[in-house]
Order: sequence, then structure tokens, then C-alpha cells
Amino acid sequence: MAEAMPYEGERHSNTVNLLGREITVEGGVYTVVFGGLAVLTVIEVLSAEFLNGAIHDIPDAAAALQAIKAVLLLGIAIVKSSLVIWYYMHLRSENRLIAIVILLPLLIAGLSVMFLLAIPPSGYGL
Amino acid sequence: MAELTASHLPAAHDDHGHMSEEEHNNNMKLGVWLYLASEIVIFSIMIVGYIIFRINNKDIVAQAHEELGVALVTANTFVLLASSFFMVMGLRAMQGGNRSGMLRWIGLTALGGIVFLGGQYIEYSELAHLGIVLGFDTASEWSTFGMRFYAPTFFHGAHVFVGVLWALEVMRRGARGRYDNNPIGIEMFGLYWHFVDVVWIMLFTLIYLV
Amino acid sequence: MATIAVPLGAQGEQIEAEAVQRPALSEYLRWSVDHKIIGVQYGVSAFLFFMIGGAMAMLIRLELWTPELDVMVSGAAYNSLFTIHGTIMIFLFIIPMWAAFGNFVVPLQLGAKDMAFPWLNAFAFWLIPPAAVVVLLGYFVSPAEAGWTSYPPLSTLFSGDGQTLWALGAHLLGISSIMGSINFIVTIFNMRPPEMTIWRMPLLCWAVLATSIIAVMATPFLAGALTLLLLDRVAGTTFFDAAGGGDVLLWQNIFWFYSHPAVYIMVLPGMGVLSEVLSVHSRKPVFGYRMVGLSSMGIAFVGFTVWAHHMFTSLQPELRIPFMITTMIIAVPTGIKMFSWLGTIWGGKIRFTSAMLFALGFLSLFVIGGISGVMLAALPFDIHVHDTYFVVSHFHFVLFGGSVFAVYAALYHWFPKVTGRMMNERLGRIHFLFTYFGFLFTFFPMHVVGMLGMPRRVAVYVEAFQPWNQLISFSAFVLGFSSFIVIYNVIKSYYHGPVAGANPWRALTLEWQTTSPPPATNFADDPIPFENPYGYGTEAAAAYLDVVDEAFSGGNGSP
Repeated sequence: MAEAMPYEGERHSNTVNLLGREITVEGGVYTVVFGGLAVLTVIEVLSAEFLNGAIHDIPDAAAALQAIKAVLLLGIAIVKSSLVIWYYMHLRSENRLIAIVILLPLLIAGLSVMFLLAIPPSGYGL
Repeated sequence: MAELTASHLPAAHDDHGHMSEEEHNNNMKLGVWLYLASEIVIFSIMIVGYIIFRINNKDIVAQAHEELGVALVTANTFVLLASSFFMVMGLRAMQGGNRSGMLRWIGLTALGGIVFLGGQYIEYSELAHLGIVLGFDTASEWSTFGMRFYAPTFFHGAHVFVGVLWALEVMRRGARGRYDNNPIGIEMFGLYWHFVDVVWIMLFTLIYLV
Repeated sequence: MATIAVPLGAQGEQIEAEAVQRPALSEYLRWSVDHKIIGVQYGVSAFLFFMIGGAMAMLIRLELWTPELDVMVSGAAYNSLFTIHGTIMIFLFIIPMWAAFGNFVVPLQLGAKDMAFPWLNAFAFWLIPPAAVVVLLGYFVSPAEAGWTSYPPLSTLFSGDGQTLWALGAHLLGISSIMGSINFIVTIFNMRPPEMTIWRMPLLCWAVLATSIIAVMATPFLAGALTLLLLDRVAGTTFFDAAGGGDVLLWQNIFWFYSHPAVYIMVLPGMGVLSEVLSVHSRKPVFGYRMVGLSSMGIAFVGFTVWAHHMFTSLQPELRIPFMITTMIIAVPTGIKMFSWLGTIWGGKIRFTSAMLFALGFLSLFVIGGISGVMLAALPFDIHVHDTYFVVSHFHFVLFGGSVFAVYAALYHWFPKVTGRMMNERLGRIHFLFTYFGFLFTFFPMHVVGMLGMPRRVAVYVEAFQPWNQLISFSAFVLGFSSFIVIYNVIKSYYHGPVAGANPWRALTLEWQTTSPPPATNFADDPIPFENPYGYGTEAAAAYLDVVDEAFSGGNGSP
């Protein structure tokens, strides 16, 4: 992952410090992030296909594999979303108020969704 | 006895009734973020119906995944991710004072949105061909799947459509030099477009993969 | 020795001369981006809806005069009547009414020149008339009959096409409310002059901030639920129909995700008004200023965790106790406010102006509504009185005894600032007496009939309840009559009231440190807030107010 860099305002550098190495690429950090998003998407799709095959082949472990798949894929999706919000939506250079503005509805919506998933008809039999 | 002084304040504003550019930009940004905050809640409600269904009807969903495959939707996801990248490059170009570069990048963004909508249209036609429709129909084995699938994806598609229109408007204004000195209008559109992208990242994983 | 800076400029007199001119009445009928015009537009239209909704309440009470169905043609007609009454009062009266006072007062109190997004502000207001037309049209076409809560399957399988229009109208009103709230939040965070720190903000601004946060975070739940409801009604989906694999409880949950926080949207600004009015008219600082500001935030957040107490009879039994506990917890921040108000007037130099009378009315009635709320939170009691008139009594005590009394207090308090004229105090007192006793004898007996077991939402009831219902109906007509007194008072005072001057109440908050009505840019110079917005009773405050009076006395003088 690219390290957080100070926001440069009008001047945009094409040099990004990636894992301790200086990389120069047209578009700088934005291009690096796009590369990351693409790689993560490929990983996501491939692992979903692989795990689907495994679930089909090993019916005994289907429930466990299904859980692993859900956690893994959602984890990757959250990382991708965070990359977009942090770099493309410039949350890294905004003040804390904006972070609160985006975290508060996530918290409220998250709790509400959790509640709806925990009660019947979806819950209990889970 | 208190001592009274009549005093003037140094003017915090350029002139009465008008905000400085920085104040204006901060207001606009906070306003857009608050709007996106409310969108998060709406989308969570649209998605939760699908998740509840997904938990209770594993077989129908697995069958739908098999019928549909992931090739088309993965391609579509790449298009939308790329359009998000074009968007941020457009903002970068304008911040660097490059108006024609900005127009090129935003044009690509709008094109990405249009291609995405086309892909969604193809997908919907395939699903309709399989007999998956929005309304409830006792005759179909898909009777309860359609609405849970179409409601969140179509709601997202509608946001992409609005985004495409907004992109064209940004291009029209940008071509007239509206953003040469203050690219806040592009930044606001960017926030919206990236948010739509983030929603898709979650929808793609939740609906098509998990 | 304190050095007091006052907003006194060299142009003071000159501004006075040009600003005393009131906006022409035609200004209020046009698109305008001035927050003061928009505030009045909100207020007058909301009051109009209050009168329409009130007329419907009168019809309801007329029907309930006898135990039989006589005024209405059918039970369904009665159902649609209370449905439209609730919808109008909540979506078209109370919520826009607070937007009215928020719009007019908040930027002035902050010392800002306008709202952050003037255009959006006007747009949010102008969404209301079309939305109202859609909702009312639905009533006359083929009315919704499912109550303002619109529970499916009533609202999906049984209600007429008016229910679809109802949902569309509620959608538009929700969008308007979200846009207005975004505007308030940005204004309060970004538009304050540097001297107006967050801990110098008047409590109405705190309350409006808390309200707006709730509105932005909760209203989208309603939007989502309404979208699904519309799909169910129009597109043949079955999100809420168990026969088609749907879940009726899903609606109840999502609806109350929104609508419980929404009751705080309806009452929190009223609580802010109360802190202002009680402090100004008893000449004492607000007791526990910081705690009151924070308790608004506390109510906002705890308000998101209590929704299922509306569903005690439909919820999974093991979830009832947790919601009973959270519901009782939310009484704590409300209690903080209650004790702050009592502490504020305790030992003060109370002036029994009309605004003060209505504020005291709020205090006495809201505490009853609050306590019946805690009673309803107690599960065993709630099961007993569920869906009876006890519940009707409870929410009218908090929404009428609370919010509407606060609306009246705010009207008498800020009318001089809006129009430059004083309201007639004698008429105000008569209005108060009719409203207070009309209200008390309308809604207090409902506790009794509710406990005796009279169910709500029925037009036909057991004959034994008739004497109670006749008392309730008679008092309701008195209450209905009382609103004509205030209309007469407003019109009379607008034309013939005594000239108010800049600061008739000698209040310290910033909206009074400019002319009445304020000039287009609100302040001649950037105003300097007094060190404490409620620092009454000190020498420094008196001196500050004297300077203000002197600065704005140009030819008008206070009454």
C-alpha cells in the first residue's frame, strides 16, 4: 500500500513511495490506488470462484467454507471501499468533522442492519 | 461600573453578504458529505432486504449465481472502477490548470458510466430471459428473488444515470471556464461519483460473489 | 471591570432608517433566498396546515360525540380522516414549523448573514406545496386508511390509491427535510463568526443542530421504507407481504428506525425555544447551560436505540426488556432539561408575558406527557393500554402540550423581531387560557378512558364511555376555537401593534442586537456576542443592553 502523503493541493507529484521504494508513474498515487483496486477485484473474483468449487466438492465443510468466503470477500470489499474514500474522496486531507459525518451513518445503518439480521425471519435459524 | 467600548470588527468577509471562496468551498464539501451520509442509510435499507433473503434462501441464490456467471458483472465492475480513476484524474488535471485534460478525463468518466449502464441492461435482459422479474409471481421459482435483486441494483443504476448527466453538465460548464479558478464543482461531482463507486464495490461483493 | 464590546457602528442610524421598512407581503409569495422570508413562508404555510389538520380533528371529535357512526358515512371514512389528520400534523405542520423558526432565528442568533445554502433553502421550502397537494389529493381521490404509520398489510393490500400518493408526498417531504437539515448543520458549523464559539451558541442553535443530525441520519430510513412500500403497491413486489415471502415486521422496524428519532425532530427545537424564553422572561441565566446543550445531543443519540418500544406487542418477546431499558434511559437527558428549566426560573424576576405563559404551560404539560411516556415504557403497563386512548393522550401531551405550546411561546417571543410590532398581550393571555384549559380537558380525560379500555382508531365505542367522550369533544371545540384568537391577534398586531424597537425583551442573544425586522444582510456590522448568551442579572449585561438600546433607538423607542 502507498503511504499517506501530505496533500499537495495544486501541485501533484507523480512519485509515490510504495513499500519503501520510490515509484514514478503518470498520475501518482491515484494510479497506484487504481492498480490496487484492480488487483483486489481480481483476487476477489478468483477466490470466490475457487471457494464455490470447494463448497461444491466438499459438502461436509460447506458451512465453514461459506463463512470463510463471506468474511474474506467482505473484508476485501471494505478495504477497496476504504481506498476509494481515503484517496479518491480525499478523506485523508479533510478535517475530522467529515470523518464523523461519514462514520455516524455507517454506525447507525450498521447497527440497524445487524438488528434486522439478528431477528426472525433471518436470525435464529442462522 | 463596566467600561463600554464601541468597536468594529475586522471584516471576516470580503464584503457584506458574500462568502469568501474558501468558506464557500468548505460549505459545499460539508453539504455533499452530509448528503452522502443520508445516502448510506437509504442504500443500507435497500441492501438489507437482499441479505435477509440471501441467508434464508441459499439454494435459489446459488442457482442464480450459476445461471448468471460473473464474467459480465466483473467486466462492469472494472469499467466503474476505471471511471472513478478517470474522475479523480480529471480533478487533478483541473487543479493543475489543464482544462482540456480535465474535459478529456471527465468525458471518459461519463463514457464509463454509460458503458456500465449498458452492461446492466444486458444483464437485466438475460435475467428477464430466465424468468426473473421484479414482481411477485407464484408460477415462477424465482418469484421472491427478483425484487430483492432488482431493487438495490436498479437504485444504484439510477444513481449512475444521474451521475452521467451530472458529468455532462460539469463538462459543459468546464468548457466555458467555470472551474478554471475554483474546481470545487468538479470536486463535488467527484465525491458523488466515488460514492456511487463505493456502493457498487459493496453491492458487487454482497450480491454477486458472497 | 469588564470591557464590553457592542455591535455599534457609525452607520447605526442610517441602517435603522432603511431597515425598519418591512418586506412587502408579495415578497412572501415569491421565490426568495432570504432566510428571513423563507422562515415566514415556512411558518405561515405550516400554520395553514395546522388549521386544516385541526379542522379534521374537530370532525373526529364530532364523530365521537355519540357512540354510533353518524357523522361519517363509513368506518373507512373515519379511518382515512385520522390518517390524514396525523399525516398533516406531523409531516406538514410540526416539522416545517420548526424549520420556520430555525430558518428565521438560527442565522441571526449565530451572527451569520444568511444560511450556508440560500438557494437550497428556498428549494427545500418550495418542495412542500407540491408535496402537500399530492398528499391532500390522495385524500380526496381514494384515501389512505392505514394511519400515519401505514403498517402493511393495511397499507399494501387494503388501502386505496391515495396510499400511493401519500407515500409519494411523504417522500418529497422527507427530501425537503433532509435538505433543510443539511443546510442547518453546515450553517451552524461553518457560518459562525469567530467570536461565536460553540460554547457561546444559544441553546436553540444546539437544539436545531441535534434535530438536524437526527433528520439527516434517520429520514433516509423512511425514504428507503417508502420506496419498498411504493414498489409493493405499484410494481407487484412483496417485500412486506408474508404470502409472497415478505416480512411485515420489516416495515415496522424500518419505519420506527425513522419515526422514533423523528419524534425528537418534532420536540427538540421546542425544548431549545423553552430555554430561550424561560431565561429571557425570568431574567436569569440558563441553569446548567452546557448540560442542556449536551443533553440535546444525548437525546439525539439515545433516540436511535429505542424504536422497538412502539412494537411491544409485535416484537419477539425476549427483545422487549432491552428496549424497555433504553426507553427509560432516554428520560434521563429529558429530565436534565426539565430540571434546568425549573432551576432557570427558580428565584428569577418572572414577567408573565404571553410567551412566558406558554413556556410555563409547556413545562407543566410536557412533564405529564413525559411521565406517561415512562409509564408506557414499562412493559406490563404498555401491554394493558396498548392501542388505547392512553397512548393517544400520551403523544398529544408531548406533541401538543409540548411542541405546539413551544410554537406559541416562540411566536409571541419572536413576533416583534419578525414584524417589528408587539403582539397584543391581553389577547395573548386570553389565548393562553383557552388553549391551556381546552387542551387539559381534551387530553387528560383520555388517560382515563384509555385505562378503562377504549381503543383508539375506532368510530364506534361502548356507550359507557359517552360522557367522557362528550367532555373530550366539548373541550376539543374550545381548543379549536382558541386558534382563531391567535390568528386575529397576529393580523391585528401586524398592522396596529405598538412598534417593538430592536430589543423589546432586553434579551442578550444576537438576533435582538439588530433592527426589527433585520436588514437584508442581518447586521450592519459584524456583531459581537456577549460573553454569555444568557448572562442576565449582571451589571455588564445591563450595560451591554443599554448600549444596544441606544444604538437602535433612532426615532422608534421601545414601547
